Amino acid sequence: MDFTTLGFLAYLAAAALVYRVLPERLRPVLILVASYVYYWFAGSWMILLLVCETLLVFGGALLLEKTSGQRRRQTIMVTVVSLLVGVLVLFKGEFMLPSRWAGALLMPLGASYYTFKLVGYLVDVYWQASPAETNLLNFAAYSAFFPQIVAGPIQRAESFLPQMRVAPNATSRGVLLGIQRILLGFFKKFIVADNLGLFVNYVYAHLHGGAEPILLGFYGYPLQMYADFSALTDIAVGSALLFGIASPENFEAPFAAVSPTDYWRRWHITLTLWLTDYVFTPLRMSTRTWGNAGLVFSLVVNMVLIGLWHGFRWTFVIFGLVHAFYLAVDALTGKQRRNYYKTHPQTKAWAGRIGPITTFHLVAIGFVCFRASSLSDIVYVLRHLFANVTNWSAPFASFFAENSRFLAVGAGGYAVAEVFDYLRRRNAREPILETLPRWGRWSAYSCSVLAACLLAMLLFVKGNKPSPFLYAIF
Amino acid sequence: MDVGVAEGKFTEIMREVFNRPDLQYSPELTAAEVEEWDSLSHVDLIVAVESEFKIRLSTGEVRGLKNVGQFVALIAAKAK
Repeated sequence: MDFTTLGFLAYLAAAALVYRVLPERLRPVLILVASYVYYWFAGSWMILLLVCETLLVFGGALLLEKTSGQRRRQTIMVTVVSLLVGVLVLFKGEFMLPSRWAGALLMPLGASYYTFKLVGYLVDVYWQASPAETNLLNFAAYSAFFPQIVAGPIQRAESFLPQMRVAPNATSRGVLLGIQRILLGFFKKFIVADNLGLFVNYVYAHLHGGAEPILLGFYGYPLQMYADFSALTDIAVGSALLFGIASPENFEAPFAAVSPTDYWRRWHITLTLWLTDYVFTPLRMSTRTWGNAGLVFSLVVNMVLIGLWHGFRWTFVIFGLVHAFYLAVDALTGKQRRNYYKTHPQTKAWAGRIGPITTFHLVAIGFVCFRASSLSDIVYVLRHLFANVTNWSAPFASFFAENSRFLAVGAGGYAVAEVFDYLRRRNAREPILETLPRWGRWSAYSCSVLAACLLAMLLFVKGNKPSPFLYAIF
Repeated sequence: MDVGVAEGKFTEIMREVFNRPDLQYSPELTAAEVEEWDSLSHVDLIVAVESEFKIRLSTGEVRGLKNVGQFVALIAAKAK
């Protein structure tokens, strides 16, 4: 039941309606049942892994709270975390198994995301930063919550569980925002990501074949990836809002970042924060007496892990190393730059203007490492960036002539999506819709309803064929 | 250690680490309210605190802290 099918929308609407009419004490039951039914249709017997890991962590956390000796507490925490991470690594490294077992271990849907949730929760209980949850039902609903299971956002237990205990009605404002958010997600996916993807895929599939403008792939892929991944987050956050559940945000205008450090505060925010709390900070604390060497070491380990999480491939390792290099240079020169800006304020203003352009290009180089299928392709793309900008091969010229309207729609749609996102963020800070006169509010409501109907019709015409998200496989 | 003494020393350390001489102490102050206070400078702050107060802090102790007031209370409890 892919997010981009009419079946998913119908299932979501039915679950949200039943949730609304149920008494509050039964709502966590509905969330759990709806999530397990969704998971069963999406992942079949792999649901057993989710159930087992949920029970293991629930019990492990209660045991941690009852155990007093530090050594024993550490043993419990390390054992459970090793089991969870070990299972994830086994599935991620499936292709390294002997060929006769090929395909035997397909990555269970959302395994990364519920593992992150469970590990974070258990470590917090170990650190005594959070109490252990005593209600198994609420905890199981937390680990399996179906809008977030495909690709996050990675919500912390301390943020989700209090909402599950209260299980309030979704307000009419929340439902409207949820529907608008889902619509924005579909817009980004169908109008922007899929259309840009057409050209990006063509360029990367014909890298060595002749004269394709590689620059199109270089600029197109970051925009496609952002539209695709943030669409997934939009649908997840919007769906949760229909149940009255607020989720953390995953993106904050990442291409407006003024530095690589700022970029990681805006891109896949919940994963970055998770890694900061459970990988980077513990590593940095252990190496704090090493000075700058400890900082660089912790950054490299953290970023290479981010790369490897996407898959055990050298291109992802290079992706991690490239970003570790950016972050290390940014961190090691930060103090000097800030001091320089204090004495040269006009330079700071210029740096603020140039920062987003420079950062976007640095990030785009990272995305080449992410998208290319081999190390030689990374080198080839970066060495031939400006090749064939105008001198196209005959097949590409014919492909372009046939599909240029999709590129125009994708690029124009990207600009529209950025405007929608800006208005959405502004509306979240200080509601603007409610301050409009009645005709303005009703115009917005009518547009949302009409857009939702149009989307349903489009999905119906399109059939039940899903349009896979780039990030749903991680 | 007396909480008042710890507050004074901690404020000086914050100002030094974040290069913000104007920073004012408030028990409710959080990292989110100080632009320069990120995951990198957070560890610099801990190193400076450990050196000044001659204490050792663990990752778990620091993870549970919600604001500056709790940080100072932890320091005051551990420092002599």
